[in-house]
Amino acid sequence: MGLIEGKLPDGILTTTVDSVFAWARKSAIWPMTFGLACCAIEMMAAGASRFDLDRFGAGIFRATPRQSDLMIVAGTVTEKMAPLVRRLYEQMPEPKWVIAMGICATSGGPFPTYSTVQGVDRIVPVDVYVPGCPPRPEALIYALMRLQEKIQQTRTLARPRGAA
Amino acid sequence: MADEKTGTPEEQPGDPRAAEVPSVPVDRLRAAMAESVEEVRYWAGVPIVRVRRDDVARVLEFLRDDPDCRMNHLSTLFATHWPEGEHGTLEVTYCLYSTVHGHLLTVKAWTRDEEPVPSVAEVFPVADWNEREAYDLVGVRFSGHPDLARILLPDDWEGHPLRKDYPLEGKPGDHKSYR
Repeated sequence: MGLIEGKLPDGILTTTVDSVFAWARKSAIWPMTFGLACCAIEMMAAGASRFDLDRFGAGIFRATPRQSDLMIVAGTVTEKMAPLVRRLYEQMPEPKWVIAMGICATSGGPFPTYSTVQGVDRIVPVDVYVPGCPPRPEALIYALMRLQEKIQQTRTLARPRGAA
Repeated sequence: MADEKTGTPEEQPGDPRAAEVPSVPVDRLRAAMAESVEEVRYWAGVPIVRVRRDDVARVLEFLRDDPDCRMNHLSTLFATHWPEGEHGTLEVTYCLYSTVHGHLLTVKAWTRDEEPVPSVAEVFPVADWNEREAYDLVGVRFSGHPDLARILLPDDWEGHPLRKDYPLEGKPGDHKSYR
């Protein structure tokens, strides 16, 4: 801040636009109301008063993909459900993120069978994987915090040299 | 309790669990529809009646309406694949209960791949979806069913995954583009 040092009055901070963008994004992640199996119960617990996802700005579960930033794939993805998961993801506005919650969403888990999709990353891009069967709410909260770290690193205006 | 491939009971002679128990529905069936009853066994106090395949709907209707039976609740209906079964390859099981008299009764019918079993959806409306499940996963055909479409798997699925010869992890092409 060499050029402007000492030229601004007290009480004024300087930062980059990107940092403010990323900070705003990570502080109000709205997940989609979307549960596929037992993991959804732990996700509900994470959103309720005891664990309170709202402390991280992510407590407003939206009942429509149009208003959601985050899809928490909580549970087993069956072959029959897969096209719908993909459609819901496509209906979410950019920027959007995906958490694969539990081993079913991560890799098919205990169901290496004919009807189970062997990991939701075969359908949608996944940002954070949460192990567990089901993961405890603390694990989901930790995944959310890791996602927030990831979002904070995104650059919207000042893209790295050479990036498209 | 049963051989893995044939479904034939393995119980030893004199097994107390296979002991005969008095049963009003069995007596009524034997009196009124003797020609339909092929075999009666007992397990854990419940009679298991194997009936002629083509008479299933009539037998269940009789058990439901007969004043001494009143088997008015079909608790479940399911199918099993026995590749080397004695009486066929597909076994359909009907579990009946009477909320009036407290009778319990299991009815079984055997069939083969393409030979249809009469639908009991007209007798017990709940059987509509149960029969669709049996068709979807095991491949039992039910004649006279109002809409014998797949109920659990995608509509374009090929094969019946709960058959013993179906690979657990699916056959090539099952997972379409998601595998």
